[in-house]
Amino acid sequence: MPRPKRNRTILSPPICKGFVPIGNTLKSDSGIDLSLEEFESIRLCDYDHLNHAEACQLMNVSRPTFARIYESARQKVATAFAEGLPIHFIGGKYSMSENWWKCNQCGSMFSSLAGEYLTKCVVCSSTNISSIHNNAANDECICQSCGAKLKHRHGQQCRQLYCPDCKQPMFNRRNARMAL
Amino acid sequence: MKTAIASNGDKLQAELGMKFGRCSHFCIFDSESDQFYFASNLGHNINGGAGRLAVTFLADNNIKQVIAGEFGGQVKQMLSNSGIRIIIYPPTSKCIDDIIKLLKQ
Repeated sequence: MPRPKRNRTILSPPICKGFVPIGNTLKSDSGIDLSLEEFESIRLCDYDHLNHAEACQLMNVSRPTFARIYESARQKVATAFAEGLPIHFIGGKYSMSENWWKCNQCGSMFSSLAGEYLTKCVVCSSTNISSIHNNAANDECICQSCGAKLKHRHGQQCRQLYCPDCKQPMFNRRNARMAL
Repeated sequence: MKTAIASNGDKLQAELGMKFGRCSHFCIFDSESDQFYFASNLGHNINGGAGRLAVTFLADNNIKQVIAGEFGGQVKQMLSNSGIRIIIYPPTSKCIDDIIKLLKQ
């Protein structure tokens, strides 16, 4: 049995189900199926301008695997453009990026909904909760001199932002801890 | 906000359901009106696809979070895609009444 595929993490699903060409009579069953991980690879590389090394970490795969996904995505998009075929965003081996929390009071584990930052347990309202694993969805940019925090925008480098109070460049949470 | 709690019966003294798709009833608690009612789970005794049925039922009833002891891999993905929060409650002998009391706090 071959080794099972790793789940590719995608930050959010596409906002539409696909694309259709204008002014071309379609056969109902024709079209290119672009998997969601291929869609995510194009979004990370070409829309957010990340390089393959940064993008592969966000998707939780190795860099060569990311390059293969991206290559196949470009090939499919090019085929659709050249042949005037619709593109459907469907399928793939992926998991949505989500943060999981554990309440130390009642012992329950729960997920946060997209874009939500929890401060208390959803069951017993205790504030004694801890994050099980962190990922890019809830990341923060930190100012090293005054400790101010900004919500990290996916695809933007923290050091390009400046602290609203002391005008110093911001740092990623992981890097800031090392420097302090 | 509406919360579904997997339960092994239709009474307040029933135990928390350990398997999300295979529990016999869902207790649906509305935190805004403090009301609750029990609904039977359609997938209780069917051969396959119980999780999918339950997720559709929750999504149709506009439920925002669900509590159970255990969720399957497919169900987790379906729930997060339909914007329902998953709460995994540790296996204890707590009954539905205790959990509703916790939620009311």
